[in-house]
Amino acid sequence: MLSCKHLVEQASEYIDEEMSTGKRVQVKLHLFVCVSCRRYMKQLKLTIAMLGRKHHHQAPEEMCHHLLKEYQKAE
Amino acid sequence: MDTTDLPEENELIQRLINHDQQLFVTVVKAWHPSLYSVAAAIVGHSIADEVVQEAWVSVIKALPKFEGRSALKTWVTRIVANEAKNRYRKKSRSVSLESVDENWSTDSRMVSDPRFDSSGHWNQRNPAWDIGSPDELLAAGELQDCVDKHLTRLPDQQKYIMELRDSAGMGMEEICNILEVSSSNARVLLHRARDKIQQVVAKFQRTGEC
Repeated sequence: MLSCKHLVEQASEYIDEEMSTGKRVQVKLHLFVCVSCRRYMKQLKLTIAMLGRKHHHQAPEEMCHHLLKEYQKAE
Repeated sequence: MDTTDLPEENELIQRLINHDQQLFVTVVKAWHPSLYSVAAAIVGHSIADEVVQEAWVSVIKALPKFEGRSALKTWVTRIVANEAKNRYRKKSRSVSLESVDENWSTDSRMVSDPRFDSSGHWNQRNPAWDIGSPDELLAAGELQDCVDKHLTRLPDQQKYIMELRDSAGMGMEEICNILEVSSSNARVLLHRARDKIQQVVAKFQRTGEC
């Protein structure tokens, strides 16, 4: 059976659905019996969701003005 | 501004070609976070805004000739990546993008991990977190300071891939094309970065320390 360490190493592949069906079944079986790995998987998903909402770099206003001028010139 | 607020693809292209100025600014703002991530991943944060701006100037010139072979955003993203790569090469660094890529695979593997015993089982039961949603995590100020500190310490390659995938929401194939890395390397590096941040949050949850 898949060890916890191996499951943790493959967790992103599982979450991103980039895993073969066979491997996926192995992971699901392991998760069914292992509370620590179930928690890890949930925590990693939460971490990824948090990262997705962090650090959204906004377009500087000066850049928007400059690009609008360029866009108007091209008309 | 969210990308979902934009009109559907055909209407978007037509209106931009027809010089809808308001829509143009909306698109520039909506796509900036992900375009910035692409530029920053290649040239670093200091000139990433400048690179995106230059790329948009090229987009404006080429837009009437856009043939729609890919989605407009994919096309713009490629122009940003090309502009960034040109800048990177112009800086005449002693290493090329390709030689940097080779180093990506030499990063040390997770040979021994203190979380697991020699048979690969958890040394201690992994405790549940008190926090159950991303918004709660983001609202925890001290925890976010801690996460930010560790994000800056991640190896650049790991940080870039994670930015493109988890912040910019790009697909792995596109990321590999843009950064010129193999899919297997990219997956390993992405997981290391995510796993590291999971461990940072876990430690903070357990001990209240960064």
